[in-house]
Amino acid sequence: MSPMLAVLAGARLVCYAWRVWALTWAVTAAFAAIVVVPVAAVLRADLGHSLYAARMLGNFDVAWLAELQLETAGMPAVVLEPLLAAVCLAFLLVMTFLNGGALAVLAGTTTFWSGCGRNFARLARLLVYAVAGYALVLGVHSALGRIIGKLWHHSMEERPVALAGWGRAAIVVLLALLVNMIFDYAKIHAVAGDTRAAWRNVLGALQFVRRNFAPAAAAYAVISLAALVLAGLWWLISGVLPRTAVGWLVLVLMLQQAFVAARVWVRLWYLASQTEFFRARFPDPTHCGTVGA
Amino acid sequence: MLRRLVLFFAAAAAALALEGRSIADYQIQARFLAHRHAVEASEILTWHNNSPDTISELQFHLYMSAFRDGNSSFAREDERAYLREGSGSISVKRLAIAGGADLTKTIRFIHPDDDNAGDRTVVSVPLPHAVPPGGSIRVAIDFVTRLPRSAARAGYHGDYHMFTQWFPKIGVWEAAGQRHSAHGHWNCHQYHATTEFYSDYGHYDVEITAPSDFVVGATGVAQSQVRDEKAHTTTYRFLQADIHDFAWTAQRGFVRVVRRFDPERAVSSAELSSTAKLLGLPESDVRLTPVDMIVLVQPEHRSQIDTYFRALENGLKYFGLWYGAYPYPTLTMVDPPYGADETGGMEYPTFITTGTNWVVARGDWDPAFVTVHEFGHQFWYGLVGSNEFEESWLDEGFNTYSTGKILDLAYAPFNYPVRYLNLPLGPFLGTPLVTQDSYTRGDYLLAPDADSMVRNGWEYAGRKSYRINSYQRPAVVLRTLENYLGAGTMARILRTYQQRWRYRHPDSLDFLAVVNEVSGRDMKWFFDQFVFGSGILDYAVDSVHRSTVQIRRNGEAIFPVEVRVRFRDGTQAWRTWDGRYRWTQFHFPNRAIESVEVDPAHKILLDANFTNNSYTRPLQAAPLMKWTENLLFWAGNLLLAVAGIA
Repeated sequence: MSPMLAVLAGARLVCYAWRVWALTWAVTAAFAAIVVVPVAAVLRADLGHSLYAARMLGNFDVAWLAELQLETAGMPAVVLEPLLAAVCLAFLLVMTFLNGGALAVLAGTTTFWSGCGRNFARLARLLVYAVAGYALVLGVHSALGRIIGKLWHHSMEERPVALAGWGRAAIVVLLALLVNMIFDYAKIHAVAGDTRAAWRNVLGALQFVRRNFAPAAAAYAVISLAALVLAGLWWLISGVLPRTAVGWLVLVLMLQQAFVAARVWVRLWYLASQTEFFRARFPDPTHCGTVGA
Repeated sequence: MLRRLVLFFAAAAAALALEGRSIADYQIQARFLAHRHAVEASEILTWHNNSPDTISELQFHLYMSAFRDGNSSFAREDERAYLREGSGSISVKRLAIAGGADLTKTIRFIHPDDDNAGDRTVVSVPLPHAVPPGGSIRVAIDFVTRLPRSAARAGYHGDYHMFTQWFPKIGVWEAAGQRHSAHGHWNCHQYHATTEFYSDYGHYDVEITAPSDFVVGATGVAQSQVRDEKAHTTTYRFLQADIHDFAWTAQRGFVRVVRRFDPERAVSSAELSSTAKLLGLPESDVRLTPVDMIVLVQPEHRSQIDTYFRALENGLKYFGLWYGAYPYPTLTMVDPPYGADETGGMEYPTFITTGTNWVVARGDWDPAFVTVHEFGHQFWYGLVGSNEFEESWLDEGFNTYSTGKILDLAYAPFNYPVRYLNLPLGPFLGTPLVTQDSYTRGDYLLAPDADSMVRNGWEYAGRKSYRINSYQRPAVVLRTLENYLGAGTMARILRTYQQRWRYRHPDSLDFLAVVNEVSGRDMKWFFDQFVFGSGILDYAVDSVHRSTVQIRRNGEAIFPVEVRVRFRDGTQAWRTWDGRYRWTQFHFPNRAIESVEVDPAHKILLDANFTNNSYTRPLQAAPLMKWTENLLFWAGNLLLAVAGIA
């Protein structure tokens, strides 16, 4: 199967699995609301009946943040930061749980909820490995920073330092995408191959990506490009939408949530296309657990 | 007889105006040793005692010695480790009365501010013969100054060198009464991490011999340039009268561009006449003079040369129109290279340093803000020589206030700055547009009651408090004063203050005297609370019950306020309150109140809480919805980014 065919097949698969998509978006919105509701309560209490709110409708006054901090002795930030961290962690676990079902549906192994339960532990173990992988990328980021600092310590020009910084950012982003892709295949390996051992899944994914690097990367790149186009479109649209009347604001809310839903769709598209590609290149997934052995 | 009297008073006024104009005259010959990042120099200081006191001791600043080691007060106060590396210093090799006694051995380091024996930034020199009132003394000093790596306003980076605070500079003898001193004394503070400078006016004649391949820029007017072909050096001579410091720079790669500020082109006749009208002066008094603008920029900032010149022209134009023409024939602006940011954003007479980035965006406030601001110091620090150690608000605050007005007038509001990967992302991300009032008020609110504005620079509750009380809070105070007295009165106050105190050393009380005189009101209550005090100002709508409105003073500070009440039938009523008691009530029998607002025009920028200034019955649905949906959107995106690793 060519990467393009995998991408197209993946898109079709996500369309069929629209319930998974809708559920994932709903969960995302619900978790976002957990963070937003207390903040909105603060906004309502502080600005709900103040004419200052109407003045800031056209252009937000950054001084208000300092005002709020002074008024509450910094309480919102003190509460919000741990809340945000806790919600992110919980969301990560819930998404790990849902991914098990999504992958089961995409791979056609079991039903959604059964897949959620069956695959949670193995995907959670893979999550720990993935975190280590991203930590490695952060290490590369930091090491490259030190090298750039040393090489251009005496530079009287910003240009080479900026260019090197952009180069570093590009390398780090590519490495992060590579790690992301490898762990996507590790998850697929775990679900489609029904393999519990995380190290076997990681090793299997590494081997698969090594053997099929060009087409796997091509499929990943096509979807990434689509995601970029989506972000660009949003940037263009959001820049021209007026936000001064309730009617427009309802429309903006719908568009914003449509964008979030589109991002969820793209995330599932990655998994579906990679599942299709994996199955095409690895026709007997029940033995894929031994690949790395 | 009348004519004679007029002439007498005119002469007396002129003498008064000239008081303090030429107290410390310097002749310096310096040889720049590029490879050692140092100068060897000889200085002849002629110091005039214009006080009624007999002076038996001189005190000098040796500020580059703040970077000698980690024991200086500067290094102890600033936590940045590189300051403890050492390498900067001024070594006095010989100090003598010109043609007389050698006083080198009598020099002793003193530490008037903190008794730190490890600090070597101020010296005292006892004199064998006291200087009588009206007398003069000539002192010859041989010294070597070594620059540190780019650190706190001075230093070198690559072949770029910024020589500031590089020569032994005499302190200021403040006679009894000057700046409200109780008795005569030397005002010669140590160099602190948060303080700048204070010195007397004089005439500077400085020769700098530098390798010929360096481009040199300095305070004053370049009189001559003599090349020594054998030694491959060039000797530059710079002259300038009526200044109180001298700085210079040298770098091989500087791109030097000179343009002339032409007031005929820069200022329209309508602007001239409206300014004259505002100030109540004849147009001839507000006319500006041409100035040679010399810009030394880094090759990679070549594309920003026009931006720099535009900022300088805006500075020359507006500061000149408002406060009186810039009186010097030249202005030199230095754009430091990458890695030497510490030397940027500084001011010296007729010489400023700015700073920018390789990539700037339209709508970015760099480098316009820093250029206008540093230029503004020519007026608030250069021409009006306030004591930056003891009353930093008189230069930084006045200048932040003035810079803000120019930026709002001559530039569009900028996007709240966000830089990442050396890129200005504010305009791209569509961050909120920021006016100068919003920007300064936002910063002021970060610590509105940490200190009084008038305080020794090294005694504020930390660097943040120094910054807020020297820059943003004074700007907010002055804007509030302007809104209270009216733009015309404020313009006349600042013009009078600037003109009266040019080439002299005023203090906060001198400014208060000008405020009272020009406004015709006693503003001591304002100064006591907001200049010398640190109380919070906050008026709020406490409650709206049927037809009764209650307004409350939450803070300690008192300010008269206006209250606007809108009714459901579309009419409105205005009330004023002196704001003294803790609360007041207004009754509107049989009227249905729609909204109430204290200070609806937001004239009182010092108010720490604009949100509670008003109450409106209907819920503000649109703004709440806008921010809530935005938060929901960004939270969703953040969560999806996190979920990418799941």
